[in-house]
Amino acid sequence: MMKHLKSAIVATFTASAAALVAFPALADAPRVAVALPGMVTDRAFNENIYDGLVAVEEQFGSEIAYTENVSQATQVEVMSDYARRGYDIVVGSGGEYTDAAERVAANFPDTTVIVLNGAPTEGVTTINYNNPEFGYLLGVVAGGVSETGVVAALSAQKFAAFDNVVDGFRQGFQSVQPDGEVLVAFTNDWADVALAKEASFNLISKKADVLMPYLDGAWVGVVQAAQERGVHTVGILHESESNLVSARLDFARALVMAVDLHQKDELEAKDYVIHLTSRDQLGDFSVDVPEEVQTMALDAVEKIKSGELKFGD
Amino acid sequence: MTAAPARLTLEGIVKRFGTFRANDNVSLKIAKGSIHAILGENGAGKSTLMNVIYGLYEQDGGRILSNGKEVRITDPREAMALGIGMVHQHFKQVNTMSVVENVVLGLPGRQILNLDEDRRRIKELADELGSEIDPDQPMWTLPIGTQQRVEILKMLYRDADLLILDEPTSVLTPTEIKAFFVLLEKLRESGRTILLITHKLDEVMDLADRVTVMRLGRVEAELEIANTTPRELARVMVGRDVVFDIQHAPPKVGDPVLELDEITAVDDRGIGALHGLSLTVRGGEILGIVGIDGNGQGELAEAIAGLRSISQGRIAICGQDASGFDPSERKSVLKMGYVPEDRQKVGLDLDSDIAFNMVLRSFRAPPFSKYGWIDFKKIRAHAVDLAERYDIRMQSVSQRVRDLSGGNQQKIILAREIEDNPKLLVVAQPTKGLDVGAIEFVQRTLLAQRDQGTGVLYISSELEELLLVADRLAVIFKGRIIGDMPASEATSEKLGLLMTGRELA
Amino acid sequence: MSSETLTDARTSRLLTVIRVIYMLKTVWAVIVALLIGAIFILLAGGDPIEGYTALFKGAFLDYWGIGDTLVRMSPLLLAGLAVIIPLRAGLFNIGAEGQIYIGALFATIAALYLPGFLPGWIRIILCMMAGALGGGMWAAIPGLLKAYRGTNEIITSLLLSYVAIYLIGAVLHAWLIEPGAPYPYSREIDKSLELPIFMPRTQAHVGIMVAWAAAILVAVMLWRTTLGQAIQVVGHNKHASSYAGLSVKRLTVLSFAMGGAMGGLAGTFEVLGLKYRLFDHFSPGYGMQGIIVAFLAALNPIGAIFAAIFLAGLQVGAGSMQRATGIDTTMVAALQGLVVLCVAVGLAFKFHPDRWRRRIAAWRGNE
Repeated sequence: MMKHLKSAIVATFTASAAALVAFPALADAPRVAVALPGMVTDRAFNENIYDGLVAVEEQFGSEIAYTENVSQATQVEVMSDYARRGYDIVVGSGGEYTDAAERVAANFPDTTVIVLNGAPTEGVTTINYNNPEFGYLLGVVAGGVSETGVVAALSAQKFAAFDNVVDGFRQGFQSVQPDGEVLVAFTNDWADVALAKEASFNLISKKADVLMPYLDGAWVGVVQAAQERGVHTVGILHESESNLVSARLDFARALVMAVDLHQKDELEAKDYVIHLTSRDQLGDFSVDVPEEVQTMALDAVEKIKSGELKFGD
Repeated sequence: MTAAPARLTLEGIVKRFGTFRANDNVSLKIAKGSIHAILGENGAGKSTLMNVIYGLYEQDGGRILSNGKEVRITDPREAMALGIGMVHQHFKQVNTMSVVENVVLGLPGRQILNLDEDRRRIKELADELGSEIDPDQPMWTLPIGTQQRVEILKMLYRDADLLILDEPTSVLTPTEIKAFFVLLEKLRESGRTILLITHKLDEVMDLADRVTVMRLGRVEAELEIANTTPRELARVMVGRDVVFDIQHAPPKVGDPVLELDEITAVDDRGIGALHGLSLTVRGGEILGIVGIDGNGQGELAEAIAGLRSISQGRIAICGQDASGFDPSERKSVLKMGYVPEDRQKVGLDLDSDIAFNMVLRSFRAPPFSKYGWIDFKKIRAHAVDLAERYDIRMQSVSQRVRDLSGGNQQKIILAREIEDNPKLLVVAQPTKGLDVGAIEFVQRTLLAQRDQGTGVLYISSELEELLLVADRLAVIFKGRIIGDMPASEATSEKLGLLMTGRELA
Repeated sequence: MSSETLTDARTSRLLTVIRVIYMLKTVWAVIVALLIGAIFILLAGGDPIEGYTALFKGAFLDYWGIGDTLVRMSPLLLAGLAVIIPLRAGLFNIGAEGQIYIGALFATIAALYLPGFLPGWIRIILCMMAGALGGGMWAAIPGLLKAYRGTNEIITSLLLSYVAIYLIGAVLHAWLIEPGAPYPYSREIDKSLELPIFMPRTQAHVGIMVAWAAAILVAVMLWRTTLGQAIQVVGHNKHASSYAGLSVKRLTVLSFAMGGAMGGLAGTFEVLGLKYRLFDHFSPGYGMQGIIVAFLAALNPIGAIFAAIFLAGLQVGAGSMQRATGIDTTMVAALQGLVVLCVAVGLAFKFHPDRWRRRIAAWRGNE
């Protein structure tokens, strides 16, 4: 878990991060509750947020609570119940919580409602990574490694965050291989490993030799398929040894930062966007990534940092 | 025979259902090595008594003695342990399994199967009984008579020496019945005891050594067959004299009520069953359809009733083309009553109550339904009236039809079909499985209808019955009518020839 | 003589009591299930009394909890009715889940595209009709296949559920998705189409009352109308139905379609009453839970109201229990299974007055 924390430093929160080290565990620590769409053991999005929650407990002495596998129908129910029980911060994990968060925020004005990876919403704090930047970086690496000129992105459902990742991914890929093709596939299930594996085989048979899963627990299937067929993966919501490189959208870190801002009474009900600003937001390159491709990727990081490359907002 | 020791003795058996006494102080003694019949109308308490002996019910009073020792039988396994085996009217078999598998199925104390050994012993037993059974044949491929033999074998395999047979001939064809009688005599010769439950007088007369006649849950008489007559048995069973000869006046024949013109239809498997069949029934006459089962009788009845579509030909009821009328319209508009062959599967909704079954075919129309709402008050009143007039024995009209005897079930159907004064009445095997009292009731009802001017088409495989009731007889063979004669001119010989397809010169 | 009549009177009174005890067997089954569940909670290191108190308080005794329970009850009840109606005709509708989704899709399309000049309440009614129609048409497919091709309706209705779920995903992706949405969901429906809330500050919408009304209407339909009787005759005996002049085929399709309409309404209310949008994967298996509702209610539409409230309360209370005591919600999934199991076992117990009369006599004898 510490590795996760180490792997990202976020510009927007640099100052707060410094403060964090200076003032650990306050007496009137906020109570924090999280509603999760999946299991905290998925070694991806849900586990990442859970790690953040545990970090909040450790660092602020907060009382924490979470509910796994919250179905769509019960999002408002679960979040409202936490608010009623006096939790100061109630977190919805993922864009699908946006609507529910809006309603809960309206009903419980004293509660801070946060959505991770959500669209800007009235009365709600949303925290997002600038998805295209991270996608771009992975696209560059994929472009440097792909021999077939075909790579693929794989998610469960089509929605804005993923679309943005793919946009960046495509641009990055085509900056290296201008005629290259990016395939996109959806499995309709975030956790179904077998389904993800099946879909990966399908993409591989269409000549894709670098796969980017944007999944919860199901990412394991993509990695398995890639290993069996001798192709590569890059990581975005998950980190794995077998990835060429992982660009971690570290929501654990984001959650810790948000709680810290809340402690200092600085957290606003607005959209926070975390940019790619440091080499540290990337994991290690695997041996399959040639030296010159690594250099190319690091150049891209610099260009994004300096503002030479700009995506969306 | 009387000197033989008793294999099974019942003393004062009482079995109550609620306030109703299904068995009331029943005592009987079954001599070892004999065939003992229990005769009674449907609902006389025969089956209840057998279920008590077999441990399916526990008696509320009385004693059971097996080989002179008092026993308590609370489940069929205990009965088996005492050497008592039962063959139910509906076999308890697994159709997809072979004979040997069915026989050994559920044998106690077997962890490891040795089917070779079983096969050998089954063959031996079958040989002993003079029947040929291939132990490896799957059950469903066997004719029903053979399946019954397997069921008996199953009991013998469990060392049963007292066999209870519940209405064993009701599922058999006439030829199978003959072979079955031979088998029973062989069993008696081998020293086994047989308890035969039946409502058929002739079987009792042909086979049994002694007979116990039951009526309304009580033993009415226990008689030596040698010292009795069918007439006496019938009287004891029904509680009054039964008239075997029905007198009827010559028919006053009116206009045709049913005209079939060259109709063709297929059976459920899509094989041709009716091949250009033509016949006419006139008002005021009973036309009996004679034939060996399976020559298209069932399909004929269904085609007329509108339950089976015809591919060619024309059906006219009371002069009107019947095509385009569904079964219930044929009843309500064309004035046709229909008593189907299978009363439990087709004629009734067993899970509904008596009242509803009385309007099964008319509940959707006024006065029982108005604007889509059903009027249970009217339905009940209607049923109470009918039940009284047709002498349906029941506790109330809200009773489920499933719990009634076959005779009462048939009365419900008859009442329903006759009540709105049909011009045409089609009845298929109306007396199947009924006791003499109920048969008589059915026949009287049909004759009364005829005398009112209704045309009756009477399909039956009971030749005797048809000769008794019908005015005219038509013989069906392979889906066609191949002969037609007034009942007065009909003889068993003539009809027998026609039934086997030999047309008269 | 008089002492004998006295004993008889006492016996019959005692028998009445025993009969009532038998009639309540579902209640006993639930209690047994809870007791067994208590053992599980103990084994998991929890305090069952504390847990159950939190559960029942959270579901039935707390204002918010009651609101949540009712919100959850609505789709469970309607899904239960979706199973009950066809099952009364002897047909297994395992695909209520799909009917819920298609109903929600139809209702959403109606909500988004009905002309705005119509008053809100008219549009709400039209949306409900559209949802019912969608669910009904979807359910009519297995009905038609069963009636005219003899295809096993269990399989077709079940598989069509998956088709429906994926179809919603596809339609969302291709057409209805709100641009820039953080999750695949449609645009929001107009404020005037949101169902009124009848418990302030909860989510308890009037769709809940419509669901109750639907249950009562289904009961009336089954027990008081000609159509209901016809459906039940078909359920009892198909041959007798043909003989009675009923069109078994038509009633097969119709009962399936009516069930599907109930499922469609369930989906409609999830959109109009709860989410105000069509979400991908919005139903957490209400269709399947409808089978449990139908089973607990013994196919009685009025009983289904109580079964649905109970099941909804169990699920809502589970959340409260977990949040209050840390007992895992999976325990409640296990509890739900136990309840079904115990009720099924309970069905095996039938009241035999004779047997009890004899037992009573034996006790008296021993006294």
